Amino acid sequence: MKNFTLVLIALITGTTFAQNSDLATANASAEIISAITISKTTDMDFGMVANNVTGGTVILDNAAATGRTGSADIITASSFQNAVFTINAENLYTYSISLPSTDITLSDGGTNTMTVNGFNDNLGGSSTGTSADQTLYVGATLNVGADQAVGNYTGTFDVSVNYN
Amino acid sequence: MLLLAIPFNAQSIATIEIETQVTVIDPIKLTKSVDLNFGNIVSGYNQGSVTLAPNGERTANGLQLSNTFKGNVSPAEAIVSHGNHSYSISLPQAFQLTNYDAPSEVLTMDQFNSLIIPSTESGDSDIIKIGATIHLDANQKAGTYTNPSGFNVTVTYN
Repeated sequence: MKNFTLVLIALITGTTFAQNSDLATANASAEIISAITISKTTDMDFGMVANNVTGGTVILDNAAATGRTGSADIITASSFQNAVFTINAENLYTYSISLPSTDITLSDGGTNTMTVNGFNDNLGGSSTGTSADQTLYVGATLNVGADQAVGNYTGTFDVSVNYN
Repeated sequence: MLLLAIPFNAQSIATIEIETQVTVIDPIKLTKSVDLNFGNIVSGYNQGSVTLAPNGERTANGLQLSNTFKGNVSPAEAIVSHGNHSYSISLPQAFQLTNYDAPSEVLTMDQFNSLIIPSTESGDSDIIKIGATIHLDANQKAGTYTNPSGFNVTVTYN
């Protein structure tokens, strides 16, 4: 009887397996810009006016040393001041300045009123930040009515600044 | 592989040849090509967030983005060579950036997500674009926020 020996030898050489995972690293960054700010330094004050049958205007300019002109009967000895604000915006960032585009009403606390309009500023409505404080001067025109009632007239207006 | 037949005695041994095979494929490979940059974000009086989508679009939530000074905006990009085999991508849960000039100020990134763009030249590789969301505190201190370590992206054959 023949003996058979089954020999089966399988040699697997050069083990191969795939690297089944890989990793990469990425950097991340963000640049945070400081918020633009505006604060009031000085209120607007037109000074004193004498009433008359005509009325007229009192005009404050937007210069650092406020100038006052107008057709109303202005008491020239009375003090006056344009509005002054402090703005702080990130260096090199441009921004726009918004002043009232419609009339503002001043009231004597009763029924008498006057309007203020023609708002303007020394920066021409826009500027560029420096990351340091910047000064904004705002001028306007007060409209005194004919036979304007005697009194102390006050009101408020808003100024806003926005990054472009 | 090698099949060895060792002859002892021709009458007492039988050999059989069988076929076997193994498929060799290249390792999966991932290479970063672009870092993730959120660009310029204006700090707000309230907290908020900005989402950078993998396609590069930024969406602000409660914050202002500058129109004129976008800054450096880019989703991260990495190229994966996959030899036309399927794979999965693993991204971080969260990641922190630190103010370069004031290390106590941090920003947190999360909601990492990816977009896969198959390479048109061959079926062997894809471009992976990665976006995320960054969160700012109220009055977040201005400055450049980075992380020197970088965040990890992993690809694994399925």
